[in-house]
Amino acid sequence: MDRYSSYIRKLKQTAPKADFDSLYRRIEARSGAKKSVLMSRPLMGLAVAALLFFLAVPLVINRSGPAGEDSKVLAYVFQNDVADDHAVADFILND
Amino acid sequence: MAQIEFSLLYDNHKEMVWKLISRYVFSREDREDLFQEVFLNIHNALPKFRGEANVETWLYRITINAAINYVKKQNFNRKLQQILESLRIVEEISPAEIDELSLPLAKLNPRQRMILLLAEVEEKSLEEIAETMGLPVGTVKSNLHRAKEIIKKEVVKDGSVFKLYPEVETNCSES
Repeated sequence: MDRYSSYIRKLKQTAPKADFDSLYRRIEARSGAKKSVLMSRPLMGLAVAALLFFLAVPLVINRSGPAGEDSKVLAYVFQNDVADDHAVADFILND
Repeated sequence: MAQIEFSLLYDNHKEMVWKLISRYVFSREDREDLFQEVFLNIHNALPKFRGEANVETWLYRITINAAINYVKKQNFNRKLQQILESLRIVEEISPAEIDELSLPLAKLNPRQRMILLLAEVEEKSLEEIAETMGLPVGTVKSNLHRAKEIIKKEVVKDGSVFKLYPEVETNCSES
């Protein structure tokens, strides 16, 4: 038997002992930890969706009241301008 | 359900996984780390396992991939360590304890080391190794050939392996 074969034979015979129960507990603990992170992922998604919803709602539903529209703002300005005898328009044009 | 299957898998295959990885990495810490890594991967992959492949082949595949990635990561960290040492950013750290029997194996690259162990120690055929590792048979063959050459060279170099294991030397001189 040459040295190579002896070496391989020795490798086959060598098997360090392991505490499989303790290793199992550690695996369980680590898999549990990973699971809790995974489990919180849908909750995180839900929280982000809720945040986006609350941010988007004012843009869709309430654009700071009826005076928020450009045309209405301008109408209000010109209405007051007329009432003030074109004071605003005169001020802008004369400036 | 998956939990029960996992504990069964663990009980039935822990020895096989331990044997393979304990010859693949050399320190106790690495062995335990890698062992946990393998079974965590099995735990995570279990819900996707549909039984199309043989359970043992599937387990081997996960073990092999985890082991090769583990050693690659270690090699990368070692190189980084060397760079940091050369730049004097970190103090020199003593290398992990290496069993003298594992010393020749440490000369192989991660893939060669795994192929040699599967072929010579686990006595798997070239076809089985190729299937499990997802490699062409020719690649397995050439890697095995190269690995054998390196090991042969290492074991005759100064006989360091035989200093620690005199009974191996005795067997050699008998032959």
